[in-house]
Amino acid sequence: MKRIGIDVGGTNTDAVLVDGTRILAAAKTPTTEDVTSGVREALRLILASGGDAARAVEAVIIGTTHFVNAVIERKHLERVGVLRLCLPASASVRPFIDWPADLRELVRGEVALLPGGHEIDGREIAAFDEVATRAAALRIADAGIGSVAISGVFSPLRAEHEERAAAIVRDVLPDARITLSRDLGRIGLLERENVTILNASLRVLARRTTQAFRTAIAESGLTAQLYLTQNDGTVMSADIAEELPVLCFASGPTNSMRGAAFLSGLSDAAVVDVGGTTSDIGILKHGFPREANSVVEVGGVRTLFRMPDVTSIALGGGTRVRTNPFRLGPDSLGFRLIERGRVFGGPDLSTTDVAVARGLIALGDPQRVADLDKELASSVLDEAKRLLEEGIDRLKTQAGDIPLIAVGGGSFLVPKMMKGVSEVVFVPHHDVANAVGAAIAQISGEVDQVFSNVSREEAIDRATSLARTRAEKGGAAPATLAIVDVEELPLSYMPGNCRRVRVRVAGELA
Amino acid sequence: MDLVAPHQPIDVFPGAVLMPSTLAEEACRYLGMGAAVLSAGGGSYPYLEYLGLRELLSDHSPVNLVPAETLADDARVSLVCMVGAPLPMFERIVDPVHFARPVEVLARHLRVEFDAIMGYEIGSMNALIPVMVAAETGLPLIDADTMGRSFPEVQMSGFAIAGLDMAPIAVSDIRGNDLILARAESGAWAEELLRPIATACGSIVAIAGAHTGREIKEHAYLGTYSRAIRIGRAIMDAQAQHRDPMAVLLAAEPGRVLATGKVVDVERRTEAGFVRGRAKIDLAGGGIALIHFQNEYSVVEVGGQRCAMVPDLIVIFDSDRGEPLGTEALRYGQHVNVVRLPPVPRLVTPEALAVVGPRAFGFDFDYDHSNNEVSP
Repeated sequence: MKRIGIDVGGTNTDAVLVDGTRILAAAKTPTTEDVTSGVREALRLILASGGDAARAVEAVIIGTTHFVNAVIERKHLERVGVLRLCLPASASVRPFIDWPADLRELVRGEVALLPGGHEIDGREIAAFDEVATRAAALRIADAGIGSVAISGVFSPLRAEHEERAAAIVRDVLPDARITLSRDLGRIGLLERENVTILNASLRVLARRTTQAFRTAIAESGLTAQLYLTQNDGTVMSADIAEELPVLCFASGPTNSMRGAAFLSGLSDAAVVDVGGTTSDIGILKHGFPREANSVVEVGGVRTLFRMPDVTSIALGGGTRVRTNPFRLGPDSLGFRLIERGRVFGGPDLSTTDVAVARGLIALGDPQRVADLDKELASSVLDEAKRLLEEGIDRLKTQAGDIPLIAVGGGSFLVPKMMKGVSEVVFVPHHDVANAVGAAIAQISGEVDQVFSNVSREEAIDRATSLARTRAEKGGAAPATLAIVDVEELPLSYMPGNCRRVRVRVAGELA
Repeated sequence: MDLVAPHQPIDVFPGAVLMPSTLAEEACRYLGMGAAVLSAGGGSYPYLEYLGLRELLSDHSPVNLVPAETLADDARVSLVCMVGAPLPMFERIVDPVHFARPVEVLARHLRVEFDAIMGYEIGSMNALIPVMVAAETGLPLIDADTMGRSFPEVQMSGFAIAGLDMAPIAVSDIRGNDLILARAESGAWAEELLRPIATACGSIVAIAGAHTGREIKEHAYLGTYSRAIRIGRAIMDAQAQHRDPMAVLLAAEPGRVLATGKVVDVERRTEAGFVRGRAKIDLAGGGIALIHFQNEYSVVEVGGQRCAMVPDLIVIFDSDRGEPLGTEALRYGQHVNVVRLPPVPRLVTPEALAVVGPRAFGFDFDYDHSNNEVSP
C-alpha cells in the first residue's frame, strides 16, 4: 500500500512517499502559521517528485503539533461545560482547581458535580441522578456552551454513568461535542478530567484542521484517506482525531522514534533525535516508544494519559559554544543559525561550526573555522557525548548496553562510540525520520483496567481481547494485530487478589 | 481547651517551638513535602490532599498548631486518619467533611466536646488530613503524632506500643454509614477489624479515636508537625532558589547523607499484602549501597556495612530536584542521595524497638544505637 507521511514540526513540514517498505520520495518545506499551507506545499513537492506512484496513494498520514501548540499558546480554544459524576465523594477538589489562571479563564464554563461514579470494586458510589444531570445539561445549554467534558470516578473501570450523562446532554443539546473521560482513561480522576477538558476545548479546532487537511488532499488530486498520528506511535482515522485531538499531543517525538525503528530495522533500542535546539531521547520497546507512567504537564495542566517517555536535553546543531570560561549551551541560535553561525559568516560559535571544523559535516565555509582551537573542539564534542550518555542512561530501565539510533538534522553530533551503548546506528533519510514514522504507522487499541478475583492469565486474556476489539473498531486488520505491551501491577492493601493490567495491541490499516 | 504552662519539655526535637503557630496555605505546602520525607519511602507528595486543603483554607480560618506540652492532662483530643488503600484516593479524592464526621460521631458517643485534633501518622496524606479536620471543626491541631513517621500497621503506633486502649474508634464512610468500634483487644485487633470495614466501604474510611492530654504528652511523638514543616521548607525553598536541597536540609536538620550514586537495580515482590524488595546503588565514589524496603525503606548497607535501619528515617532523594522518592517510584538510572534522619527518641526505647525495630521487619539483627551518637 502506498502512503504519504507528513510531519508538521515547529520549523519544517517533512513529507515522504512510501511503498510498503521502500521510500520513493522525500520533501522538506517550512511550516506555516496556518499549518495547512505547509501541508499543501509538502503534498505538491511529493507529487512532483514521486511521479505516477504518488497518484496511487491510498492513505495520507499527518502528524501535527497544532493542537498541543494551541493549548500552550492559549489560541483557538473553546469554552467547556464540565459534568463530574462523583457525589458524595471528590467534592473538595473541583474541576480546574490547579489550572493556570489564564487558561482557566479561557476554558471554564458551567461546572456541575453530580451524584454517581463507582467504587474500585465496581459498585456505585451513588445512583445516577437523571433529574440533576438534566438540570446541569440545561444550564450548560443556557450558557451557550457547545462542548461538554464528562468525568466520573473510576470510569476507566465502569463507564455507564458517563455514558448515561452523555445521552442526556445529547438529548438537551443535540449538536453538543461531548468528550468522555473513559476514552482517555488512566486511573487518576483529576488528571484524567484535565485531559478530558483540554480535549473538549480543542474540538472545534480539530474539526477545522482535519477539514482543511482533507481539502488540501482533495485539491492535490488524491483520493486518499486521511489519518492522524497519535502519542503512542500509531494512527487514528481523521474522524476519531476530530473527537480526540489530545491524542495527537506528542506525535512529533513519537513519529521520529517510529521512523528510526523502521529505517534501522531495530525494535529495541534507544533513539536520539538531534534538532537545532534540543535532542529528544526515547526508548523503543517492541518497535514502539515506551510510555511515560507519570504525570506530564501540558501548558501548565497536569495530565496523565498515553504519552511517550521522552527526555529532552539542551543539545542541538545550533547550541551556542562559549569560551572563557568554556560553556556549551544551554541556549541555541535556533533558526538564526544560518545568519549568526560562524561558517555562515556570522559572529557566534555553535556546535555546527565545531562539527564543520572537525570534518564531521560539510556546511557553509569551512575556511571560517579553520583556525578553531583543537582543544576547544574536543571539549565541545566530549561535553556533547557526556550529555547524550547521561540522557540515555536516565531512560534505561536496566543495566547493560543497548543500541542507539541517531536521527535528525543535528545527528552529526552523536559520536560513534558511547558509554552504555552497544552500537550507534546512523540511517539513510534520518532527516525525515519523523515523516517516515508517520507514513508507516499502525492502528492500535489499549486497555488499562483493574481486575479482581481472577487469575493473572485470565486478567491479561480479558484485557487483550478488549484491546483487540478497540483496535479493530479503529480500523486495524484483525489478522495483523499483535501485542505491543503488557504491564501488570499487583495492588497493595486491596482485597480479592486485585491487579491492574495494561495491554496494548497494534496492527496494519485494514 | 485549657492551655497550661509546659511542665517540662519532654522528648522535644531540637528546634521545636513551644509556641502556638498558625498553619496557612504556605505552611501546608511545606507540610506536604515534609510528610513525603517522613513517610520514609511509604508515599509521595500528597498533591491532591494539598489541593483540597488549600481550597478549604481559602474560606476557613487558618489552623492553630499547638504544642502538645501545653495540653492539660484531662484535655480531650480526637485523633484522625485514613484507613484503606492509597489507589482509590486518586479517584475518590479526600473530602474534609467526610474526614471530620467520625470526630462528631465519637463526640456524640462519648458525650464529650473535643478540645483539639491530632493525627495518628505524620506520613504522606495522613499528615494533611488532620489539618483539614482541624480547619473543618475549628479546633486547634496538636503538634504531634503517634508514629513519628509512616509505618504500615496500627500496632506500630506509639499508643499501641504503650498498651493504650485504641478504642473506641469511630469509622465513617463517604455515604451515611458510621460505626463505633467500642473495644479492641489490641492494636493488632483494631487493624484486623478495621481493614474489612474499609474494604466494604470502597477501600477508604475516615477514622477517629479519643485520647487525653496526658496520654498524648506521655506517649505521642511531639513536635513532629513542626519538624515536617521545617524539613519541607528547607527543601522547597532550596528548590525555588536553585540551591542544593540536600545541603540546605542537612544544614538545618540533624542527619547525614549515607550514599550518593545511581540506582542500578530494583527488585520487588509482593508478600502478605506488602511490597518488599531491594534497591542497589552504584556509589559515585565507587562501591555499592543496598537499600532494603518493606512498604517503607528499612535498612541501608554501604560497602557491606549497615549504617541505617528501622526506625531510623531513611529517605531517598532524587539528586536533580531533591524530591523524596517513594519505594514505588525507584527506577533504574535515577541519580539519588540516600539520607538518614534520626528517629524520634521515643522510637528507640526497648519497648518500641520490639515492635518497630529491624527484627519486627524480618531482619536477624538488633537496632544499632551507635548511629544516633552525634558525630563531632
